Amino acid sequence: MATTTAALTISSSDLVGDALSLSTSKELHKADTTIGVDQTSGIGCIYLTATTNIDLFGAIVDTPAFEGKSHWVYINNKSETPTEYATITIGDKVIGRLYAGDWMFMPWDTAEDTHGDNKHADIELAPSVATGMSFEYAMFHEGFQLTTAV
Amino acid sequence: MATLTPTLSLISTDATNDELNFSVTKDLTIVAPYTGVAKTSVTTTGANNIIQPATDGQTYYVYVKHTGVDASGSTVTTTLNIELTGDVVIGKLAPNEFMFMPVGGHSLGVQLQASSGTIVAEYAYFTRG
Repeated sequence: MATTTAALTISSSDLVGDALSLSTSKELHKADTTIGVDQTSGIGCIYLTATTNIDLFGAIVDTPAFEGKSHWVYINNKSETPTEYATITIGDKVIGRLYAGDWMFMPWDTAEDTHGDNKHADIELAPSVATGMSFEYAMFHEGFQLTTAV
Repeated sequence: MATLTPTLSLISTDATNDELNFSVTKDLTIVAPYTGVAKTSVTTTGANNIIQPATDGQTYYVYVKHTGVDASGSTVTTTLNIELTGDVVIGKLAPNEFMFMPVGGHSLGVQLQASSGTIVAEYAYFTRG
């Protein structure tokens, strides 16, 4: 097992009269255990030059063995142009827009989605422009289905 | 307008042979509406626990944490569903786990649902300026 810790701070001095200073951290565990997740994609970077919706992490297809396992996803839009964003989708549901410099960290639910054929929610990313955008990403998890060679 | 600064750190000495230790941060411009950090006792009916209103083209930054206790203060091990309104599960938090993500580009809100019993959740949302 490995020990991977995620920590989050959120601060603001001018949001309200009382300054906001939130801090929390948590080791990333396998589902329903106190055992650390032992697999990771590593931190990767991609440069996309089309607005095509791509699979950042592909669907887990017809493999119940992976369902319900712990998966944590980090994505960072490295663009420095404020109007550039990426649309993040899970399965067939748009979650939100990741604008320049924004990042997200969330658990990934891999339950069967509504695409049918037992496809389990892929994480999709679509750049807003085709002039080139970079994204940093990582997944920490306890099991992920890799694509079979053809 | 206000400035919100979220910072994420990911640290591991043994996930791989290359030690992981990095942080990412950004100053976000925030406009109304937004919440302070709030707590709510979440039930098993997601529609009764909407923590972020439906979007109308804007982007919200959403923070949620599973506090690890129920409405009576007793420790729980059950999971907390993060859902778009309409009962669309996008992720699950175990006790003391948290998430921070943008939500928007559609007309849905965010709701929470306990897998059983009640779960006290800490949450906040902030509107991107």
